[in-house]
Amino acid sequence: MGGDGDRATSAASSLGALHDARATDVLHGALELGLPPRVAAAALEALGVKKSPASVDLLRRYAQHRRPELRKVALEAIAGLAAPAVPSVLLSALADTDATVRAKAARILGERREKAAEDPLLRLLIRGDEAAGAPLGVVAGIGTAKKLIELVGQVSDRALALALAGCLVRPDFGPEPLRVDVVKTLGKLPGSEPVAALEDYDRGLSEKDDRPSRAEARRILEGRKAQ
Amino acid sequence: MRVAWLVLVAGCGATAFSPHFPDNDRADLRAVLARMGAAGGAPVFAAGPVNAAKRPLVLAASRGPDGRLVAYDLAAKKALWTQPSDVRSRVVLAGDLAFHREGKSALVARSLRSGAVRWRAPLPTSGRLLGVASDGRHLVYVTEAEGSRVEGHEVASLTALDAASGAAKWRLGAQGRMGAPALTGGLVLVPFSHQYLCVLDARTGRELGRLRNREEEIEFVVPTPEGVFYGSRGLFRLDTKAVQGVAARATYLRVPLPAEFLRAAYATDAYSAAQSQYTAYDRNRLLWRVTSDGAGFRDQLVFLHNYRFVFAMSATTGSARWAYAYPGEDLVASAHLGQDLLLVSAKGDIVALDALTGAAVGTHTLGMPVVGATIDADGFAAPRGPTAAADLTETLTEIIWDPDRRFEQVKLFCIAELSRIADPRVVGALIRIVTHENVDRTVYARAAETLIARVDSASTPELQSALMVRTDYLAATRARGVDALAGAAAKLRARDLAPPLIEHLLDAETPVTALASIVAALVAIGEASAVEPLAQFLLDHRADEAMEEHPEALRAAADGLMRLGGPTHRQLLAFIEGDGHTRPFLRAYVGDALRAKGPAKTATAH
Repeated sequence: MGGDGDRATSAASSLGALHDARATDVLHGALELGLPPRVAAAALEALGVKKSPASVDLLRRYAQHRRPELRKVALEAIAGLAAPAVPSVLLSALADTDATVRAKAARILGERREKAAEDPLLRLLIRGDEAAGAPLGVVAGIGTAKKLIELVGQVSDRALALALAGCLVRPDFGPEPLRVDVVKTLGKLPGSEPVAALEDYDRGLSEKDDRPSRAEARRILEGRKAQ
Repeated sequence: MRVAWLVLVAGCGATAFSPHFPDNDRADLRAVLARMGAAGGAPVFAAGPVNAAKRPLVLAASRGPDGRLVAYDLAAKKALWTQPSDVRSRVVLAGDLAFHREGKSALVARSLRSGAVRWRAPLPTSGRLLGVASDGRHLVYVTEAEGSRVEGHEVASLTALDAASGAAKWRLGAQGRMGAPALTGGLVLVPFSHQYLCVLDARTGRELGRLRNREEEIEFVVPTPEGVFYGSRGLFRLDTKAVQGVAARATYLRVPLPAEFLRAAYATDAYSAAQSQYTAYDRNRLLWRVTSDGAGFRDQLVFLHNYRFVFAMSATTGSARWAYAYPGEDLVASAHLGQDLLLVSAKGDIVALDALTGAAVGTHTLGMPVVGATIDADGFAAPRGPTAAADLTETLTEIIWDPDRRFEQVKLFCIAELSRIADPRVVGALIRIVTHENVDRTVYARAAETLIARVDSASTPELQSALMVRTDYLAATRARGVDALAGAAAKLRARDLAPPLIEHLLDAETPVTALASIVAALVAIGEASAVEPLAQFLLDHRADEAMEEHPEALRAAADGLMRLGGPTHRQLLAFIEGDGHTRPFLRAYVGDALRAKGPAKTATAH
C-alpha cells in the first residue's frame, strides 16, 4: 500500500476482497505503521470484511484516532467481530464529542441489542442526541420505558417517538398496561413518526389479537384521521 | 445683579488668573497657610462629615425621566428624604445644604433636612460646568466656554454665590483653562492652565497666592481632613514645601501602581466637564487617606476601586493585601472613611468594608438603582462584631473566573498577585483557573505561565488529579488547560504524571494545540512507558496532512523517540523518513535528526 494515495486506497480495498489470510496480515501491518487518512479508511473497511478477532486491538486503536471519519469506520469494522472487547469499545464511543461518531455507535449498539447501552443511550437522548432514540427502543427495559413516558416535552418528540416505537414492536416488551401507556404517549406526540409507529404496531399483530394496547392505538389513529 | 458683579470684579483688581501673577512666592504661601489655620505649615481641617448636622450621609441620584435624589443616613440606617430631581452634576454638601446642577441650566440648593429646594440660580446655557464647591458660607463654580478658544478672549470663569441665598457675589474670567474648584476655610483653590494652583479669597475673589508645579500637571485639588492635596500622577500636599514645585523637595506621595491600573486616578480630572457628573471615573479610581503628618498613606495602604472590585494595595509596593468582589452590578461610588470603605452599587446597595481586612462589616439598601452618589461620612465606622478577613487567594481566584469580559486587565493583575502569595493553595487556584471554562485567552496564557513558575514537587498530586479529567460527552466533563498542565508536568518531571499524559496524547479529544506540550512533558519526564505511545502517536499521524498546521508535536515525538527509544525505534524512525506516505516536513526533520545523531547519544530511557 505504498505509493500514491489512489493506488494505495484501491489496494487496501482489494485486500478486503481476497480470501487469503495473508491479506489480513498486510492490512494489519500497514495500519500499524500508519497511513494517510483516506487509505487508512479503506484499509479499516477491508479489515471489517475479514472479521478477524486478531484485529480487535488495532481497530480499538483506530476507534480513538483523532479523525472522526476513521473512528466511525473502525467502529463499523469492530462491530462485526466476535470478541469480548467489542461492547466496551462501542460503549466508549457513546461519550465521543463528535455527534456523528456517537450516532454510529448508538446505531451499532442497537443492532447488537447491547443491554449495557440502555443507560448511556437514555442519557444521550436526554442530552439531545436524536440518534439515540431508535437504538434505545431496541434495548429499553421497563424502567427506561417509564422514564421515556415522563420525558414528553423535555426531549425531541421525534427521538422519543422512535424510542417508544422501538419498544412497542418488540414481542418481549411489556407488561400490557405499560404497552398501553406507551401507545397513549405516542398518541400525545406530534408529527408523522408516532402515527407510523402506531400503524406498524397495529399491522404487526394478528387479526385475532385484541389486546388493550391495540385498541388504544386504533382509537388514537382514528382520532388523528378525523383531524 | 450683572452690574454688581462687574463692580465687585473690578474692585478686587485684575490680578486673579493674570499671567503676570507671581508663582511659588514663599510669603504668599505663608499667608495662605495661615489663613487655613495651618499648624507648623501643615493645614489641619476638621474631621467628620462636612454637613452641619455631622450625620454620616449618602446622597444618591438616579437618572432618567423619573430621576430622584435620596439622602440616606448611615447611622440611622434609613432614608431621610427622597426628591424627584434631574441631577446633572455631582452633589456637593456643605453646612445644611446640598448643591447640584438640575437639568441643563439651573444650580439648586436643597435643605439636607428635607430635600426641599432652598434656592435655584441660573447657570450659563452656553458653557460647560466643570465643578461646584462650597464651604457652607460660599459657593463657587467654574464654567468653560464651548468651542475653539480665541487668543485674548475669556476661556473660563469662576463665579461665587452666597451659599445660603444663592445671591451673586463675584465673577472672574480667565484666558486660560480653569479646573473644578475646591473651597475650604474661606479659600477657593482652582487648578489653572494645567500648571498652576491658584488660591483666592472666597469673600472677595482676590488671588492670594499661586503655586506652579515644575514636574507634573495639576489636574485636581482635594481638601481632606489631613490637608489639601493636588497633582496628577501623585499627590502634592499644600504645605510650606509646596513652593519648590518638584516632588523631591515637596511633601509628595505616589503609589507604584501596577501596569494594569495605570489609568486609575487619585481624584477626578478637574478639567473634564464630563467628570463634573457621576461617570465611569467613579467606578475606576483610587481611594486614599494620608497620615496626620502627611508623610505617608494611612496604614500604608491605598485602595483601588475598579468597577465591581476593590483591592487594598501596599502603598510602597503596589501589591494586593486583600481583595473584594461585589457580585453582579458595578459599584458606582466609593469613599475612604478612615476605618471603613463605603461602596454604593448601581442597584442601590451600600456595603461597608473594614479597610484593614476587607471584611464586609455592614450593608444598607437605598431601594432604587443609582447612577452615582456623594458620600459625606468621614470617620463613620459600621458597628461590627467578629468578622473574618477576606481570603485573598480565594477572592483573586474568584475575580479571575468572573465571566465579565471587561476585566481582562484586572484578571491579569490578580494572576500577578496570586503569584506573589506564599500560600500553598495558590497552585490549586492556578490549576482551577487554567481548567476553568470561562477564561479568556490572555488570562489563560498568563495563568499558565504563572502555574509553571509556581509548581514544585508538592504540587504533583494536584496536577495528577487535574490531568486525570478527561473529555467525556456523556459525563459532561471536558479536559481543559491540558497544555498548561503538561507544561507544569514538564517542569516537575514527576513519573506519576506520565500515565495521564499518555492518555491525553492518545485521546482524540485532546486539542491539537496541546499535543506538543504533552509530548515535551513526556520526554522531559523520560519515563520508559512513554516510548511506545510516542511511537504510536507518530505512526498514527505521520501521514495526516492535517498535522501540517501543527508540526511541532510530531517533531517533538520524533525527538522523544530518539532520546528515549532504542535501536528498534531508530529503525522505526528510519522507516518514517523513507516511507512515501510520511508528510514531507516530517521526513525532512527525521532525516536531519537521524543524521545528526546527537540527541540519541545523550539520553536513554529509565
